[in-house]
Amino acid sequence: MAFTSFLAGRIFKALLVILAIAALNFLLIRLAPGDPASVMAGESGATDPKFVETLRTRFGLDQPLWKQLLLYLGQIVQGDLGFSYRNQVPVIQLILERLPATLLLMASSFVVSLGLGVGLGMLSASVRFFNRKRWLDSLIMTLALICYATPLFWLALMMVIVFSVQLDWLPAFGMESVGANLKGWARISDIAQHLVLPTLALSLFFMSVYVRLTRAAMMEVMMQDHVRTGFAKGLTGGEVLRRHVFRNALLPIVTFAGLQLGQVAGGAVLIETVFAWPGIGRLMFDALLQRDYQLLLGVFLITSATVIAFNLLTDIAYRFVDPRIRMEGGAR
Amino acid sequence: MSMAEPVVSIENLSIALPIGGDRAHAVEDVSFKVMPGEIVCVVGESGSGKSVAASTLMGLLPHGLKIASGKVIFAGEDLAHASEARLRALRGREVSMIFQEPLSALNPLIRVGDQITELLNAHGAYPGKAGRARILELFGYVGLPEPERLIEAYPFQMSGGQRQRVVIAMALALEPKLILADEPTTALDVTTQAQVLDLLRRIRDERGTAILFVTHDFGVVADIADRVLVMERGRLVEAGTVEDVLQRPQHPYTKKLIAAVPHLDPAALPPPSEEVVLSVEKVGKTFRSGGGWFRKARHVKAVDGANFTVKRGETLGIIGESGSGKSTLGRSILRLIEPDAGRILFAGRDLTSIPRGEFRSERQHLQMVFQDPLSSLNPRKRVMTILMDGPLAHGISRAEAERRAAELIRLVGLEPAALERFPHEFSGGQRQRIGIARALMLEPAVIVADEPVSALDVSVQAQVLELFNDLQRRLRLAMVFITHDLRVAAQLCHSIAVMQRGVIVEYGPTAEIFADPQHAYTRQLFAAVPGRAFDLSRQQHSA
Repeated sequence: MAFTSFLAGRIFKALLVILAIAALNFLLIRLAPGDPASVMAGESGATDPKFVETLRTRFGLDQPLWKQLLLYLGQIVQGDLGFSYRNQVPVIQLILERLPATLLLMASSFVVSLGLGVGLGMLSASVRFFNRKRWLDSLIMTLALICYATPLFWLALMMVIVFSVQLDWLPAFGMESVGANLKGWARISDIAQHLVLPTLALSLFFMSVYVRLTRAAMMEVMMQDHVRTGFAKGLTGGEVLRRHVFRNALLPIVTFAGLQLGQVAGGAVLIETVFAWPGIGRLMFDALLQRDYQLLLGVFLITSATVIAFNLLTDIAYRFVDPRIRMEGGAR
Repeated sequence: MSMAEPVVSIENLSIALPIGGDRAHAVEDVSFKVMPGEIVCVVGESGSGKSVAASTLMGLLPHGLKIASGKVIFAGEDLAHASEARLRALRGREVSMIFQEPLSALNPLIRVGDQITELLNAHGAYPGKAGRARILELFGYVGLPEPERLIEAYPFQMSGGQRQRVVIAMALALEPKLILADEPTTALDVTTQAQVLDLLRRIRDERGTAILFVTHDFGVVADIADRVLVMERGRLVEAGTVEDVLQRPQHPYTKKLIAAVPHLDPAALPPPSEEVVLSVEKVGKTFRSGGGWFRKARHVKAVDGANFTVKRGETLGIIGESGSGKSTLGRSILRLIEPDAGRILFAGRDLTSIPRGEFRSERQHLQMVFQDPLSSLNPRKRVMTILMDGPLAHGISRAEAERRAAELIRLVGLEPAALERFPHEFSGGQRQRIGIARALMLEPAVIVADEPVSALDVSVQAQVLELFNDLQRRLRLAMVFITHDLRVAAQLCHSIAVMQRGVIVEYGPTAEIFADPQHAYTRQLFAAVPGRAFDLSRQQHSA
């Protein structure tokens, strides 16, 4: 019961926040010089002010700003993200076309970075815990530091040069082989191959953060008294590590996992550009260059909504990991 | 019993410290025995090696420490050379442990019942349903209310005393021969402490369990020990029955420690003047927590209708257990916490009516000494800077501030060279002296001291209490001294106010309240002070 009221409250707040973000996005975007009318007119070589004026009227840009804002917010409340005049299709359609590609990339890099990072971090902390094979800890930490310090775009380019150009093991760009027209498993395997390089490029940085985070959190928990209690019960080192160290170290990891998931668009723009991945990041980049306001606002709104949704998921995850948060306001 | 085999016998044990420590051995050439059904107290100040000596019995030495020589004989077996697997089989089954901090000793994320089940499973005892029955039986035995409900509770849902009972239940689960109790009551309130000591005595009497009890508190020793071991810097300096050691101490260190324990009868203090400096009238503070759009806020009356006055040269003790609101009241006087009811009159002016911005200049008259001298001093600043920050902020010239700093550092008993050093270069007692000097830099009329001696060893505590009395004689301050320790209050305070759940339940001259406490709660507090019998005998000796 406490949970449903918690959830209802958070969802209600989240909706308000989304609306506020929509308004803010709308106003911020107007601070950039130029508008879609002038860009379109410029591209078609027309300098006739009358033509630009006509375009403005058609896009509703001649209205006062507050009126445009109200109109826009009204649209959003009705679930209408607007129409991209540039592409001559509804914004929602463009976004839905591109969203799966981005989600796939995000999901695979999330799983890879979390799995590898937490796994290596645990390994690193355990060898310290048992005071054996300390070199393994140094090795993992060095590796993590290198991944942490290497710029994303450079790493991506180097991987393309090594694995695609030199070794010819993996495709360098796109999501599917062009014109192959594959079906079923062949298509899945084709996409998986295309996924490897962008996933790795996107994962390595986050992986190194997870390694450091997991290791630090576990080492902090190791210092706590209840770990000594575990030994005093006659548990083995492995049991203590699993039940009393790792589980208690989960909280900061969950926090960061939430942050990472919230980065859907930010990291994707760069990687999607380098690997020509047909995702939402590319869509946003193009919309920005073309001053396609409606599309840009739509992408912003969807990405903000994802961030908020993942934050909410993180908070829910907290409640499962830590009974102190679950019970807050409950007993006592 | 003298013919019985000892449960454990430690022979010439030395434990090496890592190279570069302040001494070569954490424990040096220590020998002692613990007999069945006996409580042996190991007493010493911090760093005496008492906890390290005890932890060898579990084979759980802190990292970096190694047994250099000697034997730990348990049931005919030398644990100093036992394998890790053998030690693991003993831990929890034959030897178990009770820790100082019952909150951190339990895993915060696991239900307490499951934490004990884990112990039973580790030794293959009480499988399946029998485990739950055993835990319920233990919870009943250690006096936990509603075992059926508490078995499902998380540690944070319990009080400190309940948590310590859970830890004790866990220690008893497999009927060990020996329980190591490392300062098991230090983190508890006095009334809870008295109950836990009772429980431990009962365990000794009814189950014949031997208990090795590590403590720094001679009051506790007097109440619970059969025999006493006194440790100083890793060596065992005195051992004997509790009567011998407490009544007829032989070693100078033991004598010094016992002399440092504050007496429970009020000391004669120079009388205060008639001038009322601070007057607190019906002060209240309510905390609101939780509360959102869908939840009702919870209200806690931390302080409710507090009244008292402090005269020049008077020390008022605010006595209470944790959560009684004594710290909130102390901080309210300085408006470090904004009180939401009542008046605080300082030199005739109501401090609560002064706007926040203007209050800053009043701060120089009201200063605070904090409990933890380490965390209340900025670790990255030299003592000189720490002392001068206040005066400089209040527009006193640098030369004048330096003069005062030099004067005060001597007044609190430190060398002037101390001004150039950083807080971490000092011992706990010295840091508290710096904290006191810092509070005095602005020549305040009122000092609020919040548990300033509770983190200190007993001999250092005695010195700092002496400093407080000395300062009070010289400077004639109006002092509010917050403490949970009636012994400390007896030595320092002209009058005391006893707080329970936010309310001052008794207020009056120290001598009167100590002679004849009126309120039931005050009587309960007095009854719970450890070592009362020991005090009576001390009085007879000194008389």
